[in-house]
Amino acid sequence: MFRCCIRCAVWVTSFVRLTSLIRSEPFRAASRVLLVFLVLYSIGCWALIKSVETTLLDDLRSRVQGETELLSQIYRDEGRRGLVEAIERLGSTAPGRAYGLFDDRRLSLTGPISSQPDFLGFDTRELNVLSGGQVAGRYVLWVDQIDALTLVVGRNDDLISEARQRLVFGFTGFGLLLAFFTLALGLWAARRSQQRLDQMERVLNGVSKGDLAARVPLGTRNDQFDRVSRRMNSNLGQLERLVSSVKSTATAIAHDLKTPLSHAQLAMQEAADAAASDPTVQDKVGAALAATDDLNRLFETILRLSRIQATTDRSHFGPTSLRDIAEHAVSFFGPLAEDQGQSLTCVGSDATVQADKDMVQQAVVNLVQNACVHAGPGASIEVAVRAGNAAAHLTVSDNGPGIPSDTLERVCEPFARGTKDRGTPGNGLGLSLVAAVAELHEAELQLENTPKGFAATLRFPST
Amino acid sequence: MKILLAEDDTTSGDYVRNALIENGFVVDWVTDGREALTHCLYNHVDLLITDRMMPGMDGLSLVKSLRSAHVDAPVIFLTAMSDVQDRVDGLMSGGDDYVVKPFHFSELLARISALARRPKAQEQCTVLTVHDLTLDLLQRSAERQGNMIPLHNREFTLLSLLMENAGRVISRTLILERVWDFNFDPGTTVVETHISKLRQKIDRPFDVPLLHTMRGMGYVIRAPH
Repeated sequence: MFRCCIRCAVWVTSFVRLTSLIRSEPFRAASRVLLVFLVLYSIGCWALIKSVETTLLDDLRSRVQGETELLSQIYRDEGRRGLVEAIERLGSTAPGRAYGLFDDRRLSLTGPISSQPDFLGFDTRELNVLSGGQVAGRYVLWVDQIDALTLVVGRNDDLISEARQRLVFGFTGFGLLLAFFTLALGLWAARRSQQRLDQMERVLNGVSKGDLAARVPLGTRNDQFDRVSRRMNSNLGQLERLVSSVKSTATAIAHDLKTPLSHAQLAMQEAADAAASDPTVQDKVGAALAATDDLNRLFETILRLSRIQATTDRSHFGPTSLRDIAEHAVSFFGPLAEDQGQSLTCVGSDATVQADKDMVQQAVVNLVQNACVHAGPGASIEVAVRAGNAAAHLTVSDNGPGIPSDTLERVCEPFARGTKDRGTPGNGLGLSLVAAVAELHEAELQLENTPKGFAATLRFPST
Repeated sequence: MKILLAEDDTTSGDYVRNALIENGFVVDWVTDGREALTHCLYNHVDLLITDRMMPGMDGLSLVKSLRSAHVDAPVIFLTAMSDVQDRVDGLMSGGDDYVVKPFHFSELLARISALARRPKAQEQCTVLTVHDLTLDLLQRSAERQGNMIPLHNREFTLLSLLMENAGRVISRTLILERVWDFNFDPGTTVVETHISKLRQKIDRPFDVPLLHTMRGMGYVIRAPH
């Protein structure tokens, strides 16, 4: 059973691969060319068959006409009796021929054709069983008037139908062979292109997972794939240099600017220790320390934001419960909300996503903090987690005043704070950080004013 | 307790060394990574406090070399490199704790105490006492002047962190990290609110306040002088 399952899986994989090849552009191009070719080929074959048919028919007619002239000559030389004898002799020895001779009362004098045709000259007619017992078929007939007699000379057109059949058979076989090879060639080309595209996709996936050194292997033919690959490699090189430059700049800033800040804090701590007996001085030094703390925090947030924006590394992502993160944030802000007379609750089911837990926790903390700060006293704030088939949602909604629609688009820009927000705590980086975390996780951040108030939703792709 | 401090920045190094000596530690100070490695290999060291970026040898390589030479002394990184990945790298290289500059000395002291306690975990006392306030770590219950004080989980963790470091100022960063497992500072007054809720339970009904806010520095629980 296990082996059967494996075999089924292999079949399904092959089928999926074949379907994808059939849908690919090279195969489609080959199919389109083949279709046009087959239409033109069919028209050409039809014209050729018709031309061969006409030539053979003309040949048959000239032979029938020649024979009629011969019989007319016999009539003129030997009279009616000689003609009847000649027809009887010819009809009994030559296969595929038919004759008829009728008097002026349309009575048959000899020959297997028993009824006089209703025309003079050439025509092709279907004859039934002839009076001589011969099997009938399509005949080319020449009807001529010799004195009072009517002479009918016919030749079977089997030659023409046989030639037509052979031509149709030959052309069809050749067409099918050509179609088969063209499609096989199309599949081969599609497979080759697909392999190159798969290589490129693997490299791009690797880069998005943090392997910035990944490059597309180049061929030797300098075809369009090689040219695109070369361009991709060049862009990836630039990306790698940019990311490493951002990283090294961030590290340099961290080290060079934080050192003097650290010195200032140490000096203030020494001053606080020295003034331990004087609460006024200690309080003032404490205020200065708090200010440097704020400066440091702002600085940390900028660094963190720039690092998240520059990173493409998702290799450390792990299964993360959005419900745990939501509950953690709710328990953290619970006492603050309670002090402000707000209700802060966590609802919904659980949803697990592939994520950097620490980053997503900070994003959710920022969203809940935004709600607590901006929804106003007495507001109700809800953190809801929902698991869907295609996405997992975490929504922080409140019944506060929301954000004016003209500033809604700008709130995710760093330091974009409306004049109304100036009096409230925060540094204008909270939502920028949420947006950067969302982007790194290929999640969608949706901010909207709702009939109730305001809602911020993070929509993660399902794992 | 012998501490080796590896720090190339003289201002920070001087301050940390003096503060550690004042707190009763024996301190050696080097300014070069390679020198720190030699010192650790040939001298007994109870604790290494090291910067990440130093001349001679960077902090990560220093700790990796020490661990491969089976020097198991605990290591605290003291550095400006604050990213989560930097912390992870520090801990993966064999470091035991990570303090980000700028820092409060009290925070460093709290982390040194935590590391110094670690090997003797089984002997660790299960009841913490500050003046007339006791906290039973096994029962997870607090009591003051014979009155049981009900505590939520986070309040218990917060109070135990403060009482384990009684008399030392605990910074907001350390509280966020140890109580909520946050490696970032949301920059709100939430920690103050949690402290205030805790204060209402352990101080408000009683005469003598034990939990104090040290403005700009953090929070401390201590017995009255």
